[in-house]
Amino acid sequence: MKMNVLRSSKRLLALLGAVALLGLTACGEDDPEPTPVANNSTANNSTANNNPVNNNPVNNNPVNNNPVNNNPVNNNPVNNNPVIDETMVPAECILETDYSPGADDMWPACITDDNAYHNVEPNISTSARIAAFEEIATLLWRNGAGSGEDFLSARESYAVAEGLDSRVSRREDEHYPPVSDGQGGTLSCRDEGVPAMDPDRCVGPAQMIPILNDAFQKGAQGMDPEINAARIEATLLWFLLLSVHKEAVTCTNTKKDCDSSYAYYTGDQPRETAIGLAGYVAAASPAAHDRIWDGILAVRCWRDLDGADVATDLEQRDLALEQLDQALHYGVSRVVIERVEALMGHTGVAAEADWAFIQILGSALLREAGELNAAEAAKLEAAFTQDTPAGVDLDEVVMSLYATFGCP
Amino acid sequence: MSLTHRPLILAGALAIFVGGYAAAQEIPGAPVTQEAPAPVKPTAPPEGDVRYDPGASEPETGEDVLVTEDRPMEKGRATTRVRREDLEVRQPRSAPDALRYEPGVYVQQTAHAQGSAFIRGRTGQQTVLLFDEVRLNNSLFRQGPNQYFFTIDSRTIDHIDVLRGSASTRYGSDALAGVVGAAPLEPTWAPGEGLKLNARAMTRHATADQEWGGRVQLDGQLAEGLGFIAGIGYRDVGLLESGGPIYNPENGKLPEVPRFDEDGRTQLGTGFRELTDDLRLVWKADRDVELTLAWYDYRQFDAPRTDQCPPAYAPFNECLEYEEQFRSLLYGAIDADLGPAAEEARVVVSWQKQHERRAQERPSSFVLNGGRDDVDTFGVLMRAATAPLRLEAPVSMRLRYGIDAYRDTVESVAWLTFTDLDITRVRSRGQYLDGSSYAWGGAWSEAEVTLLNEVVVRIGGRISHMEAKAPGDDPSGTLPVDRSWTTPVGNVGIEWWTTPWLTLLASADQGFRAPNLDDLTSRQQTGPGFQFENAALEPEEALTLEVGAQVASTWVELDAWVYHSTLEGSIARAPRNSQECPPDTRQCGSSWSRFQLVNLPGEAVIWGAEGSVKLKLPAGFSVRSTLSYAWGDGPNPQERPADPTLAYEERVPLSRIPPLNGSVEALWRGYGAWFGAAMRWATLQDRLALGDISDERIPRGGTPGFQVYDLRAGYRWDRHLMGALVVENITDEAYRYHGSSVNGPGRGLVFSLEAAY
Repeated sequence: MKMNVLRSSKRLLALLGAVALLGLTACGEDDPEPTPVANNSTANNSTANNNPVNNNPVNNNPVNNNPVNNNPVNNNPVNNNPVIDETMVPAECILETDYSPGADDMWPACITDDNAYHNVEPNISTSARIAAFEEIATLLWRNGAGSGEDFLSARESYAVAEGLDSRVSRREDEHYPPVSDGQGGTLSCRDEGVPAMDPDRCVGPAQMIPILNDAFQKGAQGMDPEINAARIEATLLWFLLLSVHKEAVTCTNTKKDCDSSYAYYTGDQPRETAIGLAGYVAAASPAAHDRIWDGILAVRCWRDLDGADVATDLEQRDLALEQLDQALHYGVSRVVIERVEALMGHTGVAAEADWAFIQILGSALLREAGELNAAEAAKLEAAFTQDTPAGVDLDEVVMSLYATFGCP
Repeated sequence: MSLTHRPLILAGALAIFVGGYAAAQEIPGAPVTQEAPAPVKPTAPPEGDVRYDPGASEPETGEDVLVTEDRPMEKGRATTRVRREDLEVRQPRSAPDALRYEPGVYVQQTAHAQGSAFIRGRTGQQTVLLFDEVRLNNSLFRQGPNQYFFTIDSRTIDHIDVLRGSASTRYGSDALAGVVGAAPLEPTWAPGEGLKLNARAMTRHATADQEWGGRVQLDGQLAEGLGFIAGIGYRDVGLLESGGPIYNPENGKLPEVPRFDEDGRTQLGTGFRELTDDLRLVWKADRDVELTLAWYDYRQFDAPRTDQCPPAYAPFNECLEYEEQFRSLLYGAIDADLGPAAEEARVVVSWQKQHERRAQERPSSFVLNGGRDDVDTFGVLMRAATAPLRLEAPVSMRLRYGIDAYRDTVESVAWLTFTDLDITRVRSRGQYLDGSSYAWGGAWSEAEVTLLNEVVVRIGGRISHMEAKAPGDDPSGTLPVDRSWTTPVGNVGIEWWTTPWLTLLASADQGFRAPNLDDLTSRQQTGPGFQFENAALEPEEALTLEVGAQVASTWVELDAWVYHSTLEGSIARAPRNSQECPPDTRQCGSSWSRFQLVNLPGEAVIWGAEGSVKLKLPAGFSVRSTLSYAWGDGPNPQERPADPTLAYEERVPLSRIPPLNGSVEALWRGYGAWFGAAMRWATLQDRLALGDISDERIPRGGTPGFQVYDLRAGYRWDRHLMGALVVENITDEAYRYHGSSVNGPGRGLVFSLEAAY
């Protein structure tokens, strides 16, 4: 009897041992190994850089439910004068309805009259995304052409959880109406197939993500680093431009989105030392920077005066949004002009990179340009769709931009 | 250590001293004292280990098929037991799901493949999970709900005990709010016979999630005294169809979590696969010695975390998935009666491996964030009880005592893969710190004194020691950890058998939880936001005061408790701004919310009441009802704003305190068949903590109340055949347990069939 017990025990123990081996297989052998990446030279094994905008769908529906469009317009007082003092805002550009901190205007006293932004909430997570933008800039375009490793590091900054990528991939352009389901309802750009239905509204997943994926991928492989860096730079600036406006709009329902709007422009830094998009605009046009700042304070002022969880004073909101949006587009137009002027002095890869930047960020202005000056907008669109700058009259591009975006 | 806790510690020390003296008087070979008279009646529920033998006899009320063995959880406390027969009737989807009808327990689900039991308002690392007395808790158990009780295959469970209230004297660290202990199926014995085998096959199908699964099991005895039970189980679970969405009470809109398929009912981010295997070998070496060698292996694959699949506001194809969630447990146990000084002695030596492999994928950007965390736990525990010692009549005393020790070693790694380039970058650190270790252990003793044959006084104490070690990580600015804590706790309780049918109980129990490696070292995205570590945390200490009444008569069983639980130095998430994020942790800054664990000054309080009543009616009918209420608040983890005009409250609600909730079950049993109905209900919970408000699992304005009705039927033909059917959620109610990512199943069928030979 004892022998039977022992024999049976041995069999079972052997079986138990075999099963135990199963448990030991939950190990880390199948963890991925870090991939060795050669520090690729920036050798230009060129990939015919034909239209970095990636067949950007035409802006065919800039709808007029945008509060911006009820603007008491003053859209062309400068009259094609390319010599403009970008440190001053012409008096004729300032409307009676504009907000100016502390000024004796039609706006009631509010929290931003001290010319400072006052957070809705103590922390603004958006600032981390602008910090990531600055890291990417340092790696890819501020210190010369980035290596393949630099592109990977930049992509890591871009792809961090809750970082830039997470927001680009969901960004909708609030200048366009929500995607219709054809039955009176709306669809979300986050849902499968919807971005392709309306690439203008679903601008992040439909237009920006393909450019960024392609540029990061090629850059990491050492292909056209200057050009791909310029594509990334322009696309992220496009994202920031739309995000400032989008967050200001959604601040209607979510008060803390006003903070995000402010931080997407300034990086949550003071007016004088703002980073991200603000750094570009301030360098190209201090006046535009001031006007955008006033626009951001206007939005915050409106939300201070309209403190309900869901805002009710939409008239005041629309005034603030209009002031902000016009100044933003003006500021970005100056960034584009600055790059066009740089292109005029560049040849070869540097010129190609400039053109890639101009094509993307310039195209981001076409919807607004079409509303302000359709004829000039058509000229700009014709220019930006050229594969190379060789056949483009760059002076005319500058003139068209000045003509279209006359007032910040 | 607070002054308020000192009396209990002194009481515990006294118990150890007196108990030690008593034990010394009863060494083997010494004259055996006469056994104390049996109690007038046992307290309800039964304290003994109850083993279900489905073929033992024809069930009538269900009680007849229960075989009792003395392996108590804890006497004189608020406990309930879910028996195998309850599991057959209720057909739960998982081990946590089996606890939905227990008073004081509220089961939250972050994913369809996860479940976490809140006991008196606390869960996760603030409760202890056991399997055959082996701790499942390890030092990676995180704040809030976790999925680890789900890693017990409910088909291997004989019964589950729930102990509510602090219980660190016997169960050590983490037993702040309660203990859940699962007991496995045991082999079928055939006394006087030799080889005898029983083959059993089970299958189960549920329509709401298209679950198909089963288990094949072989058990019996190889020779007289040598038994075994072995099985392999598998199930494939699809997307869970709910009764539809619930809406934010605040604004009537659809919550971001979960995301629904086009039908508006089927929840994305659900479904999983599961493989289990187990082998239990039991050798009754002689009348007083039983040896057990056991292996339980649980493997879950491709289980998305519902609230992150996709995350709120993210594109449809983003998903955080637990690619592998494994738990393997190997242990050997000796149960023996070693004489008057060590009756009911048990020694268990165990090894357990918990393995997680996660992947958070953003296909549209070709980005995959991966991570793997493994923890190996070696443990040993010993417990025993003396024989009852008659002191001066009519006083007798019994002493229970034990020691336990566990040690964790941790592997943790994280990586980022660009899937379009097939390039992977390994992070400098994982969610935890690779090479960390955590050890804890303690010695405890409880004296049980019976007076006048109607009053039982219990008094006990424990001394515990914990050590945490973790290397630093310079790139991420992670400091090394080398901490240790020694914590004494105690308890005292009284039980008065006032009449043959009424028992009154009162107890004061301390609980403690030393900070674990998750608190001290982890960085992770949690439901409320990004959480980073605090290496300077101190233990949190609880004191539960409770009074209860138990009625046990021919027709009625009633169990009612009122409790008040305080927690000093409670470890909670305090909001942090992005400037306070640790270095090289970009996701901290970019997260909507950031938190760091801190010891809050002052006391967090939960008080409440709970109970159950069972009416045992004639002709095989019974009705059981439960009711639970908890209310909790604590110090505000947010610092008072500098601007005095801003609203600020000193005390705020605690996170995820369950709403008022309860259940009713009616059942008829006879001739092997059963038929019944059940109802679960909960009211709106709109008392939300700061973390709850930023937690997408909780709808804006709170979680709506619900009522869910089930119908149940089944038939068992001896041990040969069993069929069970549940029509769940017959009104197709859209509902969600507070704090869950997943809405409950919509109307559907659960069908189970079992055949044995």
